[in-house]
Amino acid sequence: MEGINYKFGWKQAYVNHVVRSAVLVFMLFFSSLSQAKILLLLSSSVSYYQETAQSLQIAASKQGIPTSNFTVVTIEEARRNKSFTKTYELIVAIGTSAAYEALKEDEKTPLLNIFTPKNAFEALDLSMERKAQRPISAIYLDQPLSRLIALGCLLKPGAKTFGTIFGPISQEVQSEALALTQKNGLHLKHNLLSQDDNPVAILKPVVSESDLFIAIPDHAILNRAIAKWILYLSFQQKVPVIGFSKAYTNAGALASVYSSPEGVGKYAGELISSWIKQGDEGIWKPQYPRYYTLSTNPAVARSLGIALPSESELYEKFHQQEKLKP
Amino acid sequence: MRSKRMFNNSIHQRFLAVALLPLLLITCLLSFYAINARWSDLSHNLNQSGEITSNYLATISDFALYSKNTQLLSATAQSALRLPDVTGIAYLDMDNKLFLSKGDIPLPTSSSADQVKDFSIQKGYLYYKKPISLSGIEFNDYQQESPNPISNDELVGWVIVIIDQSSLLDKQREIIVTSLLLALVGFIVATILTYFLSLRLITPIQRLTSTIKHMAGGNLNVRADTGTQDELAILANGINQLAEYVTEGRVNLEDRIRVATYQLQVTLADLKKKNLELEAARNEADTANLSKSDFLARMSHELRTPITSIQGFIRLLGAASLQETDRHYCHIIDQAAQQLLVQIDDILAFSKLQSNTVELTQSPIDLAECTEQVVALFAPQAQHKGLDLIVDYAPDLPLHRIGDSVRIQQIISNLIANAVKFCDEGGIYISLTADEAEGVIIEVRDTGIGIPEEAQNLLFNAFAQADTSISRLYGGTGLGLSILKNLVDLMNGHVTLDSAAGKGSTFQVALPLPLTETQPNWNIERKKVVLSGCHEAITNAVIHALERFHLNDVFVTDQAELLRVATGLNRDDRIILCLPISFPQEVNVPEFVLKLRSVTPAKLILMATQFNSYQQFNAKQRAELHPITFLAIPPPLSELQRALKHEVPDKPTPTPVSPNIHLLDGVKVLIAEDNQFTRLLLDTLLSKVGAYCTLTSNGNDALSACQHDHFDLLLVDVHMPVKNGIDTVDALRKSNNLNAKLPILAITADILQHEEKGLFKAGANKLLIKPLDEEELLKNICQQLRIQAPAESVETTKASDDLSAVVFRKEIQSLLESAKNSLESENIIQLREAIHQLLGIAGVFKLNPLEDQVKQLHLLVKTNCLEQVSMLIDQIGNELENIDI
Repeated sequence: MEGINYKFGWKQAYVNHVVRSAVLVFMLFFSSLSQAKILLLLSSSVSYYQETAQSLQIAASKQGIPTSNFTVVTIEEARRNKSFTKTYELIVAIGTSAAYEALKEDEKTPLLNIFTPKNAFEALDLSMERKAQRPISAIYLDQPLSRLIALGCLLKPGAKTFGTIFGPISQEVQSEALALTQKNGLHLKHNLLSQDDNPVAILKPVVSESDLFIAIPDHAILNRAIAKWILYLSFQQKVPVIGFSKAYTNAGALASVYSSPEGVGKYAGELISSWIKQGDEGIWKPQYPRYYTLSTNPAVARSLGIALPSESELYEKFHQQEKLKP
Repeated sequence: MRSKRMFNNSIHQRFLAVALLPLLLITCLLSFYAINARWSDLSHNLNQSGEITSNYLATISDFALYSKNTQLLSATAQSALRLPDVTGIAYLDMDNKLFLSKGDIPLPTSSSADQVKDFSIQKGYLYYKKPISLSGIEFNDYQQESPNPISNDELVGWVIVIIDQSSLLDKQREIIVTSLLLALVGFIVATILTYFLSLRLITPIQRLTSTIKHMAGGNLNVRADTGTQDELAILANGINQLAEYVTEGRVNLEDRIRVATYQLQVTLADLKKKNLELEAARNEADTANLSKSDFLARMSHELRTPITSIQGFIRLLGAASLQETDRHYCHIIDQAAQQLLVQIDDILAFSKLQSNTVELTQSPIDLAECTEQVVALFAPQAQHKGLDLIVDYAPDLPLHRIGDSVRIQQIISNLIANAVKFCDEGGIYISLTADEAEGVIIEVRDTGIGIPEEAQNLLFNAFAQADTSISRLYGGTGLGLSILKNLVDLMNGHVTLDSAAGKGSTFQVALPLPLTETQPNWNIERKKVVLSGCHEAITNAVIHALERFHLNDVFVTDQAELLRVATGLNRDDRIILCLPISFPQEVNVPEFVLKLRSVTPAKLILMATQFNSYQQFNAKQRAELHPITFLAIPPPLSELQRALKHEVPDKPTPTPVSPNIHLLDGVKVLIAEDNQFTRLLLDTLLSKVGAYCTLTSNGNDALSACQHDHFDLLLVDVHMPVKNGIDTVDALRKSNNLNAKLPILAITADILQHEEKGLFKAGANKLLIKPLDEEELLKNICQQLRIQAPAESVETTKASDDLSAVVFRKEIQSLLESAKNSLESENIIQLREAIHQLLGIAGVFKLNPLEDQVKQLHLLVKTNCLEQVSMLIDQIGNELENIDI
């Protein structure tokens, strides 16, 4: 099941993609010639980084910042072109590696790190000394836990107990999770899984006692096997799983809410325009992306006997719930 | 052997063998292939089953094993055990310890489970061991932003699948049995089908074979069955057609043989008739040939007789007191008559050669003797012309050969005669050398007028001479070289000529003359020899002779040095002093030789021509010169050898003595002659020159005399009563008495060709024709006895002079009387004998009328014209009365 973009149908998205690619190439060409003010530093040349940069520039250009003000380079190109010897008003590091590179190569230019997991951004060496020298902020790749719980409530309205496991990293959101479930009138069945535990033994009671299982990303413990066994055990117990990626939906989760490159880029473009044009300092607060993408697995839904709403209906309902959030 | 016989038996058996052997081979191969393929498939399937099962269990058991869920594992194992041939499942943990096992067979113990390898076979069970690893799913959209610290394929344990092989063995056994049964059944069915199908093919062939056998047995009426429509029918038709052709051909052939036989009989009859005609023609030809021979003999006699008369009378005239001019004329006439005789001999010899009636005899000969006899004949003539006549034998030339001595001598004689004729100064040099392959090269070189190159090609043609002026100048028939060429060709030799006008001629005759088994030993005890006074040609000839005698210590010096050199010689040494024609005239030979004797005791060998020989020495001088030997130039080889030896009698060798009364001193001659008068004539003649004659009247008496006494020569008449001359010679030669090899001269009034051939075949050395020429007789006797013949006419008193005319008349009358009596008694043989004897003595007194009448009488008797014989006898008697002797 394909994930559904928030703003674009797939045909329109394709046409836009072609147009954006042409514009980006044009801008990249001329930006290297003119005096650029914003450096878009890509962790690598993989597609989702480039799509993020494109989306950012398109959004900024809509806000009146010409694309000529952006210089888009990968880490390799930046090193080769000695891009850090030039002066920029802002460095946008797309991906965790780009953030590390920018921190290493430049000490003064304001840095916005986008398309990076929250725990990865928090793992950067952001000492006070560094923060004092320049402003540093981030737009996370993760979606907020509230959206996962909201999606679970939307798809299994009658559920009373949500289950989840926390790892060493995700343990920090445990209280938030408990608060969110409690707020929605739910009980959260949870357990802590360390690296030395038998995951099956930890997972099995949680799954068996839950009506819906929320998979919270934690790269310390959540590997491919455990991800599979979550799906396996939940399938045995007829418990739906809410995931955090399109891949997990495809693997067997009932539905997922996640960030797309277009969404992150667009949100970053809007924040940058607002900062440059209007001096809005909101950009310098690390935050989750404003935009999200939903995906569902109708086959799993049929197996579990769950009636899924249509795409538009699902987005509509989810959007409504988001609006209702304080 | 048995199989070979089987294949040779019949085409049916061979056909079956050819068809079934490949079938059997293919069946075996296919069976083997099928069994092998099915075995491989079984093993492969079993192995694949084990692999698939183990891999499958390893894939699905990770969660159960990781979570130690024995219930789940048991369920999984049980489901796997339901697969065929899977008899056991075992799960091992990460430490290779047995965690769970299912199945009825003993599984590896927990202690030995870790010993199981990926694949192994134990006690008829196959063990497949596969690792069980954790597997997971992909759940991150952005890999670079989601690091995964845990290994994806972490090992959690092992699964072992056990497969029982017993079922495999059972199936393999079943495959073998099934395949072999199928192959056997298939082969039997194929054999039966082949047999019955082959019968359909073979039966017509067998019928055809049977038909051909009948045809081969001679029954050509049998025909092959042509019932089918295939190739065999074509073959049968062909055989039938062939049989018809053969039948037809045989009939035709028999007809043709019948016709051919008839034609052959006719031809044979014709041939018989022609053979008879040929026989008659041959008889006629033989008769004609006989007549020709008779004619030639008669013509020989007819021509010789008047010439003899001419010579006789001319010599009588020459002896008379004529003036010098008349004497000169007489000499010319005598020479002309002599030439005429030679020419007649040439023509007769040529005629014989042309008619191929000459047959070569093959007997042992001495080349030196042959040559020297001929040379001795020509020596006086050469000396008379002042020519050197030298014979040089190559030292290495074997002289004893097999050949026809008479013909070889004829060849040499022709060459020398030619040389002497055309040479007026210088000399004639004869050399004999060895040729390849037992050949002999006889070379006669002269310093005569030579032969122009353009005439050389014609030279060997009959009647050809180099120049017509030659015949005018030198005379001759021109037949000599033609006869020579014919003789050389007859002996498979060849003759070459090297000559130029004015530069003399060299004839080379190469003759193949095989060697006799033994050769004479010429060795002489080593002596020192001094050679002096000879010019180069004689010196070379003598040195070659000395080399033959193995006398190599030879010193050649001139006359001036000889006395000095001779001083150092002893009695055993030899001095050869030549007195050639060119010996210095100013030197007093006797004085020089006596002086030489005074300085040396060495034996002297004096070689001289007649003109300057030992005749210059008187008896006293000869005694003083002792030891000395006189030899003629050229010296005969054997005489030179004797002279060089010690045992040579130290007295002068026999020489052509003068006066001739001593010519045959001491020579013992046996005369066999039936005619008393001729006997008397011969006795008188030979006694006059010193010979001792023993007279016999027939062959038997002569042979008896040979038993008791030793003779030096036999004179034998060809026609004698009791035993004729030919038989006498033959008996003597074949006897082993001491006279078996003595020289034999045959004499006859006339002789037929076959008689002459028989005479020489019997072993006669020479044939003389009556009337006898006394000089010729003495020359031939000297030649046979190797006595130097006189150079000029022998000045002997005619024997006939000493014969009584009364005795002569009496003898003639006696013979005439005998002839008359024989005629009256019709005793033709006796008549012929009497006439033959008359013919022999009629010429003694050179009374031509009488001799002519006797010859006429002889011819009448010979031709059987007896009517006139009596009258002619009377005429001869009257003539005898009237003639003055």
